[in-house]
Amino acid sequence: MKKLMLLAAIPMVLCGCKTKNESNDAYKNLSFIVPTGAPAIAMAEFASLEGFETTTDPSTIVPLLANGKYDVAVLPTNVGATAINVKKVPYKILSTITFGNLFIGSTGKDSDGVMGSDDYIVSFQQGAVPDKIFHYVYGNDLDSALHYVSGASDAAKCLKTGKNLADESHDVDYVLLAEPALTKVLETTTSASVYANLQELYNTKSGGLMLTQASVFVKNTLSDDVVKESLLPVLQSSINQLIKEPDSITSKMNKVSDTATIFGVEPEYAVKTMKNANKMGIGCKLASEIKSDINKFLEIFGVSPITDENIA
Amino acid sequence: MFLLGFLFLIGVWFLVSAIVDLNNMIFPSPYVTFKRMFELLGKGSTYKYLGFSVIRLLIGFAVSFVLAFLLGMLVNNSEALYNFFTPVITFLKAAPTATFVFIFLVLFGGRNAPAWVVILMTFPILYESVVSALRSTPKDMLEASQIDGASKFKTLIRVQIPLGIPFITLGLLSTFGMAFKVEIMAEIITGITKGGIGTMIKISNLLDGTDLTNMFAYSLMAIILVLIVSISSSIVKSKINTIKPSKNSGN
Repeated sequence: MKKLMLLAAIPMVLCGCKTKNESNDAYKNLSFIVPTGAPAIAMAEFASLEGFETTTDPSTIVPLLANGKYDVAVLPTNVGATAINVKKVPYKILSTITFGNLFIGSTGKDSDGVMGSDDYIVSFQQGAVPDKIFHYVYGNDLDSALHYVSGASDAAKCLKTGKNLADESHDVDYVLLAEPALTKVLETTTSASVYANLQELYNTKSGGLMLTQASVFVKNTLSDDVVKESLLPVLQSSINQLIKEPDSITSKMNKVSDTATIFGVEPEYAVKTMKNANKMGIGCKLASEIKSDINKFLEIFGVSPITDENIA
Repeated sequence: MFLLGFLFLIGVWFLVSAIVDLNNMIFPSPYVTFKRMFELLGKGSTYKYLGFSVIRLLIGFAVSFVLAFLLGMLVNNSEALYNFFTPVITFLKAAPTATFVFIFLVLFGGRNAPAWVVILMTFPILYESVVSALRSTPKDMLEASQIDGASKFKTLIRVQIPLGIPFITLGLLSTFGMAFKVEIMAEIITGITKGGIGTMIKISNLLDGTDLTNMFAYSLMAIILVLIVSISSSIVKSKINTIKPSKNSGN
């Protein structure tokens, strides 16, 4: 009798194993849309998948989500939350994967070395995350000194050249910039340096909260088996590996042929930035565990808080 | 004269790159740009991206031409139909290209949006060139055809279209370059990195906005492609023109 029961149990165990394996591989069939830069590097594990796409312009992602075109999307947390709350896109927040990569670089031209309203400060993407964080930290006192350029690459140009070409080549004192672009400029421009770390300033001002800059959003029709048993474990272990072994970024990124195009950054700068105290702010925290940090971040943007229903 | 014009262009380019000081930004000379272009052409991925752009462009352009040709034939004999479609054509001609990029991005996704934009942006121009080509048939030819007992459809197929081919070819020629520009611009706006030559221009700016060499090199590739098509089409057009008299003399 015992032998019979044992024999009967073997196929059940085998079936169980098979189901588990299938479930673990389920993420391979998902479609992804991710902004280039730090978010793409955080998601490097998935880059070689057929359904993985990146975009240089995160603002084009939300319209694509309206039709549920992608299973997984990485977005600035405020943009994703707004899309869920206001536009009712069929997605839920899963986890935050970048915790701030914003810095203020100095061109070395400011004689007193203190950023003030008499200086020329360059920022980018007016009203978006970098601009809002800047204002949260510094208030509106520096508004008269702020000059906006269209994107991070134009801001990088300003730090590198010390001039704003879009404003009659005006001399620039400080530039708000994101990693890994900052590392790249600093390596080739000896006169430039880091003036301030906005993550640290945010942390101090908010009473110890994390800057939940970009998060992973998943389609709300995906099952828990796919999201929590397949996607999430791979994401968590991949990001942990990136943090512990920054050199592993190169092999992950090189799984695709056009590395710099897909990620918007060359592997050498991604590795250098990670080795430099993880300045891209890559990590992986479940939205359910850091709900208060996320909601404080959303409050800065005037976005309604996320509820348990919005969390995967 | 073509060669002289080309040399003048290269000369001006050399001069500008030598004179212009863009505050440590690299404004590449023709030599540097051509050199980089050949380096990029040594990479397999360049052909992949060129292929993405060219295939989408050709599909979009072909669809647009077929639609323009069919509609042009339809309105050829009907002033009422021509007037009916005029507001639509005017709207399409006046509408900002970028607006359609965003609309098609939502409707068809980042990879397909540029082809749809090419269709919509080139359609009114191709349509007008087809209509004016068909309407430019000399009156005496039309009357002769009618006297011979040909139906309107037969006149269209046997007289108006063959006579209109040079004008239509000219329309195709002048629109192709614009179509490529629209395609590249749409790729830049959508930002999807598995894009085409527009994506490469955008990424070049993203990776190092102070070095314009890659941007210039990719743009040069696009210009050369358009030139090849223009020159080939011109040769085809001149062949058509030389064939026509011999046919007439045979009759």
